[in-house]
Amino acid sequence: MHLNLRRLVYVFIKELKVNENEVFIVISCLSKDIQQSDNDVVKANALRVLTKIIDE
Amino acid sequence: MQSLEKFIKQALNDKSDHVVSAALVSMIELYKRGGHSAEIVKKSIGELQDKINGSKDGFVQYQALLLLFELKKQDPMSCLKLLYQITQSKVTTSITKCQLIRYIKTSLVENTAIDQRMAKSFISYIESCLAKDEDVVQFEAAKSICELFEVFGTGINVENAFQVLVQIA
Repeated sequence: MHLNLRRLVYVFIKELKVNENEVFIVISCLSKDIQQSDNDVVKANALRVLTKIIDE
Repeated sequence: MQSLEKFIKQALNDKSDHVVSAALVSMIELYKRGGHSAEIVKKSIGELQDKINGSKDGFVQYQALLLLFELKKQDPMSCLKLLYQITQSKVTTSITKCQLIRYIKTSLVENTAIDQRMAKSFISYIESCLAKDEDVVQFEAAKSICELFEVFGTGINVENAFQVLVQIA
Protein backbone atom coordinates (compact mmCIF):
# COMPACT_ATOMS: atom_id res chain seq x y z
CA MET A 1 0.00 0.00 0.00
CA HIS A 2 1.13 3.51 -0.70
CA LEU A 3 3.00 4.68 2.39
CA ASN A 4 2.32 8.40 2.13
CA LEU A 5 -1.39 7.83 1.64
CA ARG A 6 -1.37 5.61 4.68
CA ARG A 7 0.33 8.27 6.76
CA LEU A 8 -2.29 10.76 5.62
CA VAL A 9 -4.99 8.38 6.82
CA TYR A 10 -3.36 8.32 10.26
CA VAL A 11 -3.50 12.10 10.42
CA PHE A 12 -7.11 12.00 9.28
CA ILE A 13 -8.17 9.49 11.94
CA LYS A 14 -6.70 11.69 14.64
CA GLU A 15 -8.96 14.53 13.56
CA LEU A 16 -12.13 12.44 13.48
CA LYS A 17 -14.52 12.54 16.39
CA VAL A 18 -14.60 9.17 18.12
CA ASN A 19 -17.74 7.23 17.36
CA GLU A 20 -18.46 4.78 20.18
CA ASN A 21 -20.04 2.16 17.91
CA GLU A 22 -17.38 2.09 15.26
CA VAL A 23 -14.19 2.87 17.12
CA PHE A 24 -13.44 -0.81 17.75
CA ILE A 25 -12.90 -1.35 14.03
CA VAL A 26 -10.24 1.33 13.95
CA ILE A 27 -8.67 0.03 17.15
CA SER A 28 -8.35 -3.48 15.80
CA CYS A 29 -6.81 -2.20 12.58
CA LEU A 30 -4.29 -0.10 14.43
CA SER A 31 -3.45 -2.96 16.77
CA LYS A 32 -2.75 -5.10 13.74
CA ASP A 33 -0.49 -2.41 12.33
CA ILE A 34 1.52 -2.20 15.53
CA GLN A 35 1.93 -5.93 15.89
CA GLN A 36 2.41 -7.09 12.36
CA SER A 37 3.89 -4.27 10.37
CA ASP A 38 7.61 -4.45 9.77
CA ASN A 39 7.73 -0.81 8.73
CA ASP A 40 8.84 1.41 11.61
CA VAL A 41 7.03 4.49 10.33
CA VAL A 42 3.72 2.63 10.21
CA LYS A 43 4.29 1.16 13.67
CA ALA A 44 5.12 4.50 15.25
CA ASN A 45 2.22 6.32 13.63
CA ALA A 46 -0.27 3.63 14.56
CA LEU A 47 0.86 3.72 18.18
CA ARG A 48 0.48 7.50 18.39
CA VAL A 49 -3.00 7.40 16.84
CA LEU A 50 -4.10 4.53 19.07
CA THR A 51 -3.23 6.42 22.25
CA LYS A 52 -5.10 9.39 20.94
CA ILE A 53 -8.37 7.63 20.21
CA ILE A 54 -8.44 5.11 23.04
CA ASP A 55 -10.43 6.08 26.11
CA GLU A 56 -9.79 4.81 29.62
CA MET B 1 -6.53 -0.37 27.43
CA GLN B 2 -4.48 -3.33 28.65
CA SER B 3 -3.30 -4.10 25.16
CA LEU B 4 -2.32 -0.47 24.66
CA GLU B 5 -0.19 -0.74 27.78
CA LYS B 6 1.44 -3.83 26.34
CA PHE B 7 2.07 -2.14 22.98
CA ILE B 8 3.72 0.83 24.62
CA LYS B 9 5.95 -1.41 26.69
CA GLN B 10 6.97 -3.29 23.58
CA ALA B 11 7.57 -0.15 21.57
CA LEU B 12 9.70 1.32 24.33
CA ASN B 13 12.13 -1.55 23.89
CA ASP B 14 11.99 -1.53 20.11
CA LYS B 15 15.28 -1.33 18.28
CA SER B 16 14.13 1.53 16.10
CA ASP B 17 14.51 5.01 17.60
CA HIS B 18 11.50 6.19 15.65
CA VAL B 19 9.22 3.70 17.38
CA VAL B 20 10.71 4.41 20.81
CA SER B 21 10.03 8.09 20.26
CA ALA B 22 6.41 7.32 19.35
CA ALA B 23 6.06 5.34 22.57
CA LEU B 24 7.36 8.28 24.57
CA VAL B 25 4.95 10.68 22.89
CA SER B 26 2.11 8.30 23.66
CA MET B 27 3.17 8.12 27.29
CA ILE B 28 3.28 11.91 27.57
CA GLU B 29 -0.24 12.01 26.13
CA LEU B 30 -1.48 9.37 28.58
CA TYR B 31 0.14 11.06 31.54
CA LYS B 32 -1.41 14.41 30.72
CA ARG B 33 -4.83 12.77 30.47
CA GLY B 34 -4.41 11.61 34.08
CA GLY B 35 -6.49 9.00 35.84
CA HIS B 36 -5.71 5.33 35.57
CA SER B 37 -3.55 5.66 32.47
CA ALA B 38 -1.10 7.89 34.31
CA GLU B 39 -0.28 4.97 36.59
CA ILE B 40 1.02 2.99 33.66
CA VAL B 41 3.51 5.69 32.89
CA LYS B 42 4.74 5.88 36.47
CA LYS B 43 5.85 2.27 36.37
CA SER B 44 8.45 2.94 33.71
CA ILE B 45 10.61 5.58 35.39
CA GLY B 46 13.64 3.29 35.41
CA GLU B 47 13.40 2.69 31.69
CA LEU B 48 13.15 6.40 31.03
CA GLN B 49 16.39 7.00 32.93
CA ASP B 50 18.09 4.45 30.69
CA LYS B 51 16.72 6.18 27.61
CA ILE B 52 18.22 9.53 28.59
CA ASN B 53 21.63 8.08 29.28
CA GLY B 54 21.71 5.29 26.75
CA SER B 55 19.98 6.55 23.65
CA LYS B 56 21.89 8.10 20.79
CA ASP B 57 18.82 9.64 19.22
CA GLY B 58 18.14 13.29 20.04
CA PHE B 59 14.38 13.08 20.16
CA VAL B 60 14.35 10.02 22.38
CA GLN B 61 16.58 11.78 24.90
CA TYR B 62 14.51 14.94 24.70
CA GLN B 63 11.15 13.27 25.13
CA ALA B 64 12.42 11.07 27.94
CA LEU B 65 13.63 14.18 29.74
CA LEU B 66 10.28 15.91 29.24
CA LEU B 67 8.36 12.97 30.62
CA LEU B 68 10.67 12.37 33.58
CA PHE B 69 10.49 15.99 34.61
CA GLU B 70 6.73 15.96 34.23
CA LEU B 71 6.56 12.89 36.48
CA LYS B 72 8.71 14.42 39.19
CA LYS B 73 7.20 17.88 39.09
CA GLN B 74 5.33 17.41 42.36
CA ASP B 75 8.47 16.63 44.32
CA PRO B 76 10.97 19.51 44.21
CA MET B 77 13.77 17.51 45.80
CA SER B 78 13.71 14.64 43.30
CA CYS B 79 13.41 17.21 40.50
CA LEU B 80 16.74 18.68 41.53
CA LYS B 81 18.26 15.24 41.87
CA LEU B 82 17.16 14.38 38.35
CA LEU B 83 18.58 17.58 36.89
CA TYR B 84 21.82 17.11 38.78
CA GLN B 85 22.22 13.54 37.55
CA ILE B 86 21.72 14.62 33.96
CA THR B 87 24.22 17.44 34.20
CA GLN B 88 26.77 14.90 35.44
CA SER B 89 26.05 12.40 32.69
CA LYS B 90 27.05 13.02 29.12
CA VAL B 91 23.99 14.42 27.41
CA THR B 92 25.07 14.79 23.83
CA THR B 93 22.33 16.31 21.72
CA SER B 94 21.67 20.02 21.49
CA ILE B 95 17.89 19.89 21.83
CA THR B 96 18.14 18.01 25.12
CA LYS B 97 20.76 20.40 26.42
CA CYS B 98 18.54 23.37 25.62
CA GLN B 99 15.61 21.86 27.48
CA LEU B 100 17.88 20.98 30.39
CA ILE B 101 19.10 24.56 30.60
CA ARG B 102 15.53 25.83 30.58
CA TYR B 103 14.56 23.45 33.38
CA ILE B 104 17.57 24.47 35.44
CA LYS B 105 16.66 28.10 34.96
CA THR B 106 13.08 27.68 36.16
CA SER B 107 14.28 25.51 39.04
CA LEU B 108 16.75 28.14 40.18
CA VAL B 109 13.99 30.71 40.27
CA GLU B 110 11.03 28.69 41.53
CA ASN B 111 12.28 25.59 43.31
CA THR B 112 12.23 26.01 47.07
CA ALA B 113 14.33 22.98 47.94
CA ILE B 114 17.45 24.28 46.27
CA ASP B 115 20.53 25.05 48.39
CA GLN B 116 23.51 27.29 47.77
CA ARG B 117 25.90 24.55 46.70
CA MET B 118 23.45 23.03 44.25
CA ALA B 119 22.69 26.44 42.75
CA LYS B 120 26.39 27.10 42.26
CA SER B 121 26.96 23.85 40.44
CA PHE B 122 23.95 24.46 38.20
CA ILE B 123 25.12 27.93 37.29
CA SER B 124 28.59 26.67 36.52
CA TYR B 125 27.01 24.00 34.31
CA ILE B 126 25.19 26.66 32.32
CA GLU B 127 28.40 28.64 32.04
CA SER B 128 30.21 25.57 30.75
CA CYS B 129 27.56 25.26 28.03
CA LEU B 130 28.37 28.82 27.10
CA ALA B 131 31.96 28.00 26.28
CA LYS B 132 32.10 25.26 23.70
CA ASP B 133 28.97 24.08 22.01
CA GLU B 134 26.60 24.40 19.11
CA ASP B 135 25.04 27.81 18.55
CA VAL B 136 21.59 26.87 19.85
CA VAL B 137 22.98 25.66 23.14
CA GLN B 138 25.22 28.70 23.50
CA PHE B 139 22.30 30.99 22.82
CA GLU B 140 20.02 29.22 25.28
CA ALA B 141 22.71 29.37 27.95
CA ALA B 142 23.39 33.06 27.35
CA LYS B 143 19.69 33.85 27.43
CA SER B 144 19.24 31.95 30.68
CA ILE B 145 22.15 33.71 32.33
CA CYS B 146 20.72 37.09 31.36
CA GLU B 147 17.33 36.13 32.78
CA LEU B 148 18.91 34.85 35.97
CA PHE B 149 20.81 38.13 36.27
CA GLU B 150 17.48 39.95 36.19
CA VAL B 151 16.29 37.89 39.15
CA PHE B 152 19.39 37.46 41.28
CA GLY B 153 21.43 40.51 40.30
CA THR B 154 25.06 40.40 41.34
CA GLY B 155 26.66 37.02 41.81
CA ILE B 156 25.99 36.09 38.23
CA ASN B 157 28.54 36.99 35.64
CA VAL B 158 26.82 38.29 32.50
CA GLU B 159 29.96 39.44 30.73
CA ASN B 160 30.70 36.10 29.08
CA ALA B 161 27.08 35.73 28.08
CA PHE B 162 27.18 39.10 26.34
CA GLN B 163 30.33 38.18 24.51
CA VAL B 164 28.77 34.97 23.26
CA LEU B 165 25.62 36.76 22.15
CA VAL B 166 27.65 39.33 20.21
CA GLN B 167 29.66 36.53 18.65
CA ILE B 168 26.57 34.65 17.53
CA ALA B 169 24.97 37.78 16.13
